[in-house]
Amino acid sequence: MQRRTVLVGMGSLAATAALPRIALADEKGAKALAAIDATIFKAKTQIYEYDVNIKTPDKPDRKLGLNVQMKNEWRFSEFTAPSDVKGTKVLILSPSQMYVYLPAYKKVRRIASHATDQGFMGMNFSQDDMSITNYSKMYDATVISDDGKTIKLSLTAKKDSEAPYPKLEITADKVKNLPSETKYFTDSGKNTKTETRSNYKLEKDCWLPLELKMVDHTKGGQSTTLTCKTYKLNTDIPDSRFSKRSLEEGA
Amino acid sequence: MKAFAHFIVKRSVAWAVVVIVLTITGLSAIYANRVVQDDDVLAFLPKKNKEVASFYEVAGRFGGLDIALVGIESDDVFTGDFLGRLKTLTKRLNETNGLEYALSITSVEDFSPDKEKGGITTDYLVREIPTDAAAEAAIKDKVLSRDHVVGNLVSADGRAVMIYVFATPGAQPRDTAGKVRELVLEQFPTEKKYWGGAPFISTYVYDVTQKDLKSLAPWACLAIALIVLLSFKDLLGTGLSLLTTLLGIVIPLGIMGFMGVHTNIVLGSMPVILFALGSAYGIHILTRFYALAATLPRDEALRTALEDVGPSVLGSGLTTVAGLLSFVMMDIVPMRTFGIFTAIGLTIALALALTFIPAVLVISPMRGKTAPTLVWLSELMARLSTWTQARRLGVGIATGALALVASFYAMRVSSRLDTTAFFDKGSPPAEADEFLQKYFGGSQFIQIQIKGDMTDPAVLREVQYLGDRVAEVDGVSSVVQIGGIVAQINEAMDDVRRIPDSSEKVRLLYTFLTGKRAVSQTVTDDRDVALITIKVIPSRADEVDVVLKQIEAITKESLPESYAVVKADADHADAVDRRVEIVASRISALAILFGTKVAAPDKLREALRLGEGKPDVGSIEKSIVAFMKTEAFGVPLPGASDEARANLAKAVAALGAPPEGDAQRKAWRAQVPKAVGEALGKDVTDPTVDDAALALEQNVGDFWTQDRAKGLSRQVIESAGLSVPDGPKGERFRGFIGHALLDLKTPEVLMPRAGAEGQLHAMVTGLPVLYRGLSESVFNNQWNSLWFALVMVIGMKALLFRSLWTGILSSIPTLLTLLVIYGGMGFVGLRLDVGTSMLASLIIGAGDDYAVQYLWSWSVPEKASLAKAAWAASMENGAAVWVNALMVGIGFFVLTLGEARPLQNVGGLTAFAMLAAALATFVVCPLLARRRHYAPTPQPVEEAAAESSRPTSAGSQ
Repeated sequence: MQRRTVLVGMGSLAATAALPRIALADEKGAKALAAIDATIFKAKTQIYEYDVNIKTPDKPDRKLGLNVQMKNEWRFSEFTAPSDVKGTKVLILSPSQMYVYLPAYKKVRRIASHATDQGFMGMNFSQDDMSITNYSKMYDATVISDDGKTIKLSLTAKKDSEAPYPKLEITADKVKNLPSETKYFTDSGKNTKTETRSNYKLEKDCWLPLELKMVDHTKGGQSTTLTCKTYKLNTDIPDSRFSKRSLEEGA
Repeated sequence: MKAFAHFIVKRSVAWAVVVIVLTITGLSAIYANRVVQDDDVLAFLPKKNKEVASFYEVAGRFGGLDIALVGIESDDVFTGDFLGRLKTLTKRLNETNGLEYALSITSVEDFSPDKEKGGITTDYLVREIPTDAAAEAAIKDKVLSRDHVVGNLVSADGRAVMIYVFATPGAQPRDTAGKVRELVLEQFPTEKKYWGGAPFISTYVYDVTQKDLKSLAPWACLAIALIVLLSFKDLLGTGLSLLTTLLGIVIPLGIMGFMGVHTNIVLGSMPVILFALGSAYGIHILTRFYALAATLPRDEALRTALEDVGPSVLGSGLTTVAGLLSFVMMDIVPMRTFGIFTAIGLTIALALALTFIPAVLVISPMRGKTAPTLVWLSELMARLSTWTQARRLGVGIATGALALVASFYAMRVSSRLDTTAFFDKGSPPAEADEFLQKYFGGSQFIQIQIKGDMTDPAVLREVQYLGDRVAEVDGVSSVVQIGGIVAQINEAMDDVRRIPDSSEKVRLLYTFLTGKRAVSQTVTDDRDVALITIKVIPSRADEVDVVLKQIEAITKESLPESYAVVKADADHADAVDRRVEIVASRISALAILFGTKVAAPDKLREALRLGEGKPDVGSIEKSIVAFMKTEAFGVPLPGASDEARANLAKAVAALGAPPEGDAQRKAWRAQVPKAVGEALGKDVTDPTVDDAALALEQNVGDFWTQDRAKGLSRQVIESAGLSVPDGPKGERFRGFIGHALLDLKTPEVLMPRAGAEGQLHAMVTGLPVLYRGLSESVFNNQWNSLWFALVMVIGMKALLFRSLWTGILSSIPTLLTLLVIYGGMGFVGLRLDVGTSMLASLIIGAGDDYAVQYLWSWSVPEKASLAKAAWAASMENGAAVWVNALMVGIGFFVLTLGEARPLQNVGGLTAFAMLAAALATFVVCPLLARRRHYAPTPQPVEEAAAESSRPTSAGSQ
């Protein structure tokens, strides 16, 4: 599964200075992490249709519809529901080059967001969460436990890496080499978020989690679940799809 | 009592009593250890009070309204070291459970136009921590240029920062204060810090009171024991009497432990109160027993002693119990718990005095002194009583005058809760208060909740209008409301800081704000309820009340309950007028934000009615050229010379401003590709022309709008004679005025219309309103408990004396004492609060039995002078009453030796009240007592008292 979904770059209004930590990797941990990285799918193009459900304790659920197209570093997404946001499109050409089409304003707006630790439209997935495309590049791993079926790794940010979190804990299926749970820690050692991935599907030699859930422990357990309704891999998407003009199309 | 006396002196009964009492005490001691201390400050709020309930309803909807404020002083808050620690601290506060949200300059979000690349940049105001002097200077300039931040999150001189921490609804103020303090001290151990806001203040007052109570209560009890010992001069007797009181403390605590009732800060004073009030009962019985035992056999002496003083001890004890039970009339749970268990404790002490002490006397050879103690004091009181009786008219007039004067001042006692009255100058909360007022516009917050459709731009403008009007009130330092936030995010999308005109835009903007904690404190997720948060400078309750009343009046006046959204056009002149009024208020509020004031409001309104001047096309061309150089334009032009850009800009500007209507706008847009193609010398089908035309179509309208805003701003500033600050600040002021003036074209305005479908419901709340509710509750509690105590006490005494008049008469000294105490409070400016509202019940409970004892002993044969009765009653009770008054008085006085103001007030006033009640007994009773005797059976006059009845003729009747 490619971690860089369209949510990359959509964390709109915040930033945090993650403090990298130095930790000694163990060989077994490094191997396990490399295996996970190797299994993570890297398709040339991806198209997803998601149902998004945001659960906040003591409040009604909030639902969004989201279509995502990805090619290279480019991301094009469109909100399909509810009516307030329907037609809102986001184009990300690079981490610093993002354009938003606002149907009510009938215009495209360039937004440079450095606030990478916040979610977009109330979702609990932030740009920071989605920015880790290769664990081994950013983290050293040590094995916390290994029961033969699952392995639990503690990941510590490498020195000078731009890892958004100083520490992660990953629980992975040893057969598939895919993470089922990732805990995100702050520099004070507090577990602020927990992500779970489930309902994996094998598609063209790649495993896709059809359900992604992120729980934010700093917001009373508020969670966002992305449920993949449809997906297409390696279909042809023209480059022109990832242009400012395409944002206005169909508006 | 006679039968009881005969029963209790039986040896087998006595042993049984002792065994039972010791067994119960042992069991109670076990359960007493299980009593849990409840530090719930919020428990002192009467939840059923309307204003308290409203506060909690709003707090539940918007998150904590309890705001902890932390001020940190430093030589320079813009150093990398300071900002780094502030960032870490803010982050950790935001990660802490129980803290809803923490805001500082490192977490506040910032939008700024990206001049190089175009569009908008969103970031935290301070994200990158500066690493050198140049970067520090740059961040300082940036932060100090944010007008809404200066004076709220950083001081204007850059030497202090403020962190706002919003507590989770329902969180204990103590927990909030503790968590915040711990994290702040971790990051800023050496800097001067100020702890303000309700969580810190209530915790400080509570902790200091608790600490004082813990450290002073043992001393108070010791002082009481010493007084008993010194006056009674009998170690065994004193010990026995105090032991019964001690059992009276242990047993109710055991009951609490058994029933799972928690103790609280008020119940912490129970030992002092029971020691002070409960020790006297045993002393009365022992004194009488010792006197009789000198001449009578031991059993007979005990029986007679119980028959003689038992009824009056029982009567006075029950009146005290009734006084304490009056706390059940209060709507504050810990006060009711205090009343119930202190009354139980006193009842037990009373019962033990009448059972356990006689039982111990039966089974032990204990003997005491027979000589009367402090005879001189009794004689002094006897002289006072007879002197009073001899001058009834003069003393009566003087007493009446005192009562009148006291009543006058008593009426002036304010029941308004003022937290500043709970701490001394120089104390941490006082220091914080001064600091917050000086640099950050105060620490008190008032909120206005508005129910209505917050996706309707007309409603949002009304919310903004209300906020703007409130901002003009003297004493208001800042106003945060959803209209301002929507305007700010609209600026990010549309380059103008104003509420957009369509609900589609508003709804879309809300989606960008979803999940932002700062926003969730201004509008609910369903956008049906908004909250305006107002920071006010004063902290004293009476000054805050002045501001609060103005805010309430403005709220009532500004927001219509039912409304219709009306087109502001020539057919609706009232709508046009209201639109002008809304814009005028916006400009006045902006002027205040920028440190100036609209000197001539009428001129401003006149200026707002002037037409617009001609647009500056040259300025628009420059804006288009600048835009074409940014990444947001994103179209590589062939040649890309300045001349080419200028030609293109000229061609597009010549098309004029994009019209408002959809059809006209479509027609305008259709002309843009042609103009671009001609300027570039290319066909309209050329991709470059197509891309450039698209980028220009979408953005040129903004340039026209901004130019129009600038022109309007210039025009209004000149016409209204507005004073504009110098430099960049003045530029920002002009810019915001320009944006505000664009609202003069708002197509629709909300107008009050009776019976219309649109509904708005406003409610002013916040801690000052909650305190007002609490004050009302305290005031009502005071009256309810006072009446309850009086009715119960007078009723009991009427039964005891079998005369209603005597019941009333014996309460008059206490009533006079109450008047004097409340008059004194009014005179020196002490307020009625949760603590001082206990006074009436305590004074009635503790002081009322003096007159009972006095009148019980009032007895003179027919035709003898009443002065003899006064003399005899005084000789019988003078020393005992004063010893008791001193016991209670000194016990409570010890509580004034700490630093807790509430304890000082209650302790000092109760101590004074006891002395006043004692004195009043020896003045008022002889003044008003006109009967031969008041006890149902005439009391035998003591030989010593009768023989030394010097005033044989004085004060006759």
